[in-house]
Amino acid sequence: MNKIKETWDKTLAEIEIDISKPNYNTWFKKTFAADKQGSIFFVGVPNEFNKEWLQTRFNDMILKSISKHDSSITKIEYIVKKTQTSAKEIKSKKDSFQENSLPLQKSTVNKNNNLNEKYSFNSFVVGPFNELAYSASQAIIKKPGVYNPLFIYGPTGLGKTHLIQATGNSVYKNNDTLNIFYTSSEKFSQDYVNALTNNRINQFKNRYRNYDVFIMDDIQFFSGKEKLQEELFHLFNILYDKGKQIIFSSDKHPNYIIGLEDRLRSRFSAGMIVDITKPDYESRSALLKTKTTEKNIPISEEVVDYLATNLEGNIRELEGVLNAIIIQTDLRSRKLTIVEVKNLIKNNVKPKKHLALEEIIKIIAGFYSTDPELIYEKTRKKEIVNIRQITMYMLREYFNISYPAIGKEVGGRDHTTVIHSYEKIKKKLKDDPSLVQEIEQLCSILNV
Amino acid sequence: MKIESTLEKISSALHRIQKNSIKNLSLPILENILLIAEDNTLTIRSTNLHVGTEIKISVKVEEKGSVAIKLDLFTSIINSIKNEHSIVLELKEKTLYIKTNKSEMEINIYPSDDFPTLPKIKEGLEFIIPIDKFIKGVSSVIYAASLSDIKPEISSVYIYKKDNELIFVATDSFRLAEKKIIIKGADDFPGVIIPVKNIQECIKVFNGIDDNVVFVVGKNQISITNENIYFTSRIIDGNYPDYNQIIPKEEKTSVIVLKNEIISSLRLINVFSDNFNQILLKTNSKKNIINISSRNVDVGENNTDIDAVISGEDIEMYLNHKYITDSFSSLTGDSLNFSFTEKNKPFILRSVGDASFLYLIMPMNR
Repeated sequence: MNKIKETWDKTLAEIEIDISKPNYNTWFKKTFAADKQGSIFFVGVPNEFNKEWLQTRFNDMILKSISKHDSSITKIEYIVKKTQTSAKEIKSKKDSFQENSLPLQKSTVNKNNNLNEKYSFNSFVVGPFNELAYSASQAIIKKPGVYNPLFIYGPTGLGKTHLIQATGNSVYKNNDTLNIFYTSSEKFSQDYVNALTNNRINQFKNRYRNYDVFIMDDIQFFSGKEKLQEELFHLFNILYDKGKQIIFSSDKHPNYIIGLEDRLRSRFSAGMIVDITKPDYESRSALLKTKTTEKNIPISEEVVDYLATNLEGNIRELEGVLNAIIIQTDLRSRKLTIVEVKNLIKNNVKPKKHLALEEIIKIIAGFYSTDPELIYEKTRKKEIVNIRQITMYMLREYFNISYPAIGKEVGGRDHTTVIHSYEKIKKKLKDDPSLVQEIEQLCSILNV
Repeated sequence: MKIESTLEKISSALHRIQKNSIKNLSLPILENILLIAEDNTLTIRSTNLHVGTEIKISVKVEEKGSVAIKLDLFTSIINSIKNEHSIVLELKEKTLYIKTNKSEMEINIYPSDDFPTLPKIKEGLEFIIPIDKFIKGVSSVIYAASLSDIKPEISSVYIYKKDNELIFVATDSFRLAEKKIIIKGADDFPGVIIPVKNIQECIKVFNGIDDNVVFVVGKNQISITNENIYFTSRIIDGNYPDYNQIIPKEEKTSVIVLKNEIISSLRLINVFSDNFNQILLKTNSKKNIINISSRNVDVGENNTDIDAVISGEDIEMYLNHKYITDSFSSLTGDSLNFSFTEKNKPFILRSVGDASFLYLIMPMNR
């Protein structure tokens, strides 16, 4: 970087002698060396007028002069960029003490890459629940394209968006010449539909195909949208062939996104698929501590411990509770006692959904696309028996229902049958990974 | 170079271009305009490196060529020639000869090859928009933009498309004006932020024209073109503040007054207001009046009542009356609606029955 700056400084010194002072001040003073790629030297200029004029009038002169200092340069490109040294902030002389200004907040979304600057790794807590996803993204920041595509999945509110946006931001920080773009699947489909209605489909394609790092959030919303999937498929292939980094997030493993075309599914699986699970007690407690110091909330160890033990929900819920605590603390202008916090949580955390037994059975049967009636019946078809056993296992393991009660519910069976089923599935789980996945999937559907 | 043209054509072109080239101390050539004669057209170009304008007029070209001439000099010459129909401009060596029926002038000129070219946008989105609607939208909000250069985003007018409306916004963070204008087509018009100084030039250049013009929006530059005029300006590469979130959604007090009455009261108030243009506005729902008062240590005090229709709680508020006066030209209709939420929270000013214009004012602290 310093070398190209030096080359450009020398060139400028030479040009300054050759042309008149006003000319130099207007056209050259605010230029800077932006980059060098092979034989092309990139000069940053403040605006289009400058670019146009340097190109038409001074190009030969600059080239002649610069090649004396670096003979490898044969071409100069001009790019419009803000000057690197930002202008000093001048204090407003206006008497503003009597006036309130409108509470306008600058939006932090970068217009070019659509990334929100507020997402960074500084505020990202790493724990066992997300460390694999974290290290995968770190690897990508070091070397975009290592895991391609990176597919991050996990339930809502656990920091998927935070992680992928922070990854994008860090990649951009390392190398701001890379063309990075973040979009949600919803925005993508909107763009696509707009392009279709305005006959701009080619522009749409070209735009998306030029990105070096492409990040797409919440890909599960593509399910069932065939035309969009086709578009994504082509886009994916092109970016992938060029070795561009692609990052996806979703709330489910690609294999379980219903209505996703197989060719997309297999492509998603080609790179790295990592999941973010719910944080364990230690991570929750670490999370709470980071958030409280970040937001400067006076909160006792005891309360943190209580929250971490009792809030098993997602990180977004944790934040919601913290916000409630801030407001209450402000209101009372003192630390909250644990009793008050307990009261708060009561109002803030959604009670766990209590599903009726029939509902659970219906959902499980639906998952395996069989008729729930078959589970109650006495049929001994192998596939039905298997589903019935899984049902019993789920009821026992996750809903804590007694063996006799399960037996009674599932078609009036003996409690020993239930015990047998439970043990059988438990044993099977040890060496059947696909069953493990099925159970996990069911758990997330049943919200347990 | 040698051309002949009617005086009127040149004079009207100069009128549009006037003051476009503000003084640029670093590059004296920019005080000039460039005249280029070729193929029966005369192109007049002017730029200050922030905006650039080219106006084409059809003239009789006897010899091609170009010349740079000081704008103020040329304008005063053209404006001073009376009762003449046509004019001949001829360049020989370093002298420009201007001839009419009755007078002959010789002007020493500078070389013209230092005059910058205007950038053309290579990659950009194209839209066709009627320029009169565009100018109407811009002029409805432009006074609210900040004039300081500290925050370039808000010393600008922000224009974006939503549904079938083109929305113009300007704010200096003490008040905010928003105008919506229905426009057909131009569906994916991106949000552009154009510096207020540049857009003032645009209004001047296209004043009185009501054609459809072509807008090209590039990454750093916007251009507006019709048959004879090419206008280009730099656009701000940044984010406009998300202003929608500060527009109050609820209303606690609504006040409707006649526009004429408030104009004349504010004129009176102006005599008594202090350096900060501060006035105190109080509503009185029992008597159905609003009371405006102002104080100036040097002059004295003033208290004026205005008949009003008031619904909701009574409220009092300190504010800058200049901000209200500024918006009168954009408020059509004969009655105005103030809607307040709380003391020291921004309030909205609209015309009754016109939803296309919204004006938000921040009150002052006493």
